[in-house]
Amino acid sequence: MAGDKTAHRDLVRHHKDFAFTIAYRILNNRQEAEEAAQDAFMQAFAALKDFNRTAKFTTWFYRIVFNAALMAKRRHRPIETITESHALAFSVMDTTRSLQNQERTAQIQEALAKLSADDVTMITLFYLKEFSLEEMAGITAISSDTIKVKLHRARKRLAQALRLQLGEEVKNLY
Amino acid sequence: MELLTDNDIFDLLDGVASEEVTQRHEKLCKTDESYRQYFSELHGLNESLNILPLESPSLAFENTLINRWEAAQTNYKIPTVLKRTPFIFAGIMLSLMFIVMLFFIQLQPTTTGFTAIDF
Repeated sequence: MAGDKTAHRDLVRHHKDFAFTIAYRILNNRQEAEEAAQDAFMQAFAALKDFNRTAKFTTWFYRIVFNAALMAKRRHRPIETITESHALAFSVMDTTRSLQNQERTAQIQEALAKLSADDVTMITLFYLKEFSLEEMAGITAISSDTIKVKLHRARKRLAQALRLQLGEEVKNLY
Repeated sequence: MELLTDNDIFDLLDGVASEEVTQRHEKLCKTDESYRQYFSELHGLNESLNILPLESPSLAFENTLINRWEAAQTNYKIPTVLKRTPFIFAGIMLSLMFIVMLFFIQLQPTTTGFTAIDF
């Protein structure tokens, strides 16, 4: 039992940031992302004994995280938009990041919030640099043939959202 | 010169573009200002996404989760006991019904004989 507890703790320590990041990018709300990530861990713990050891654990686990975040997104209200206070919160969290990077990060978070969960997931999984395109296909249950196309489209839509958003910001200055 | 598609540009950014695409890109960068601007925009986005930080949950995340899991494990034992309660209840009720039926059968007036109808 104590061994189980330690193993569970190790699993949480090792995967919590990735799980939380995926959930946060999809839900765009820290509290909901924490709940979704916790739900995913709970489901994974419960299903660990049935886990097929020949499969890759991360693909299996992040599929649970992805589904938990999608479920949470369907359950909850419209997404929370990132405001200046959020941008400030980011800056308080990590003082070493340059102000310019923080500003850019906040802009991208805001643009990501305007995309569909599928698009956000594609971008998040790809840029986490932890998964191959085949593994991304496994997590999102999309065929590996279409994953690259979907990723390209998602990035294009993000660029458009960012362009629109920056255009509005410039307009608001005048 | 034929322009590159978005897919070609993303392949360039991901470092998986073919030699032919790379050469066309280099030529376009030298000759086409609007292409250069568009590429620069996507390149900037790609760079920003590459340095997008990994988010961390609250400090209480790990302990909250482990406590939740332990509580769920403890609670899990109660339903297994409770799961049998409906069967026990149904068993008792059936036994009672059976006893009551037996009791009423005993109270029924018994027929003294059987008269067969003779045709």
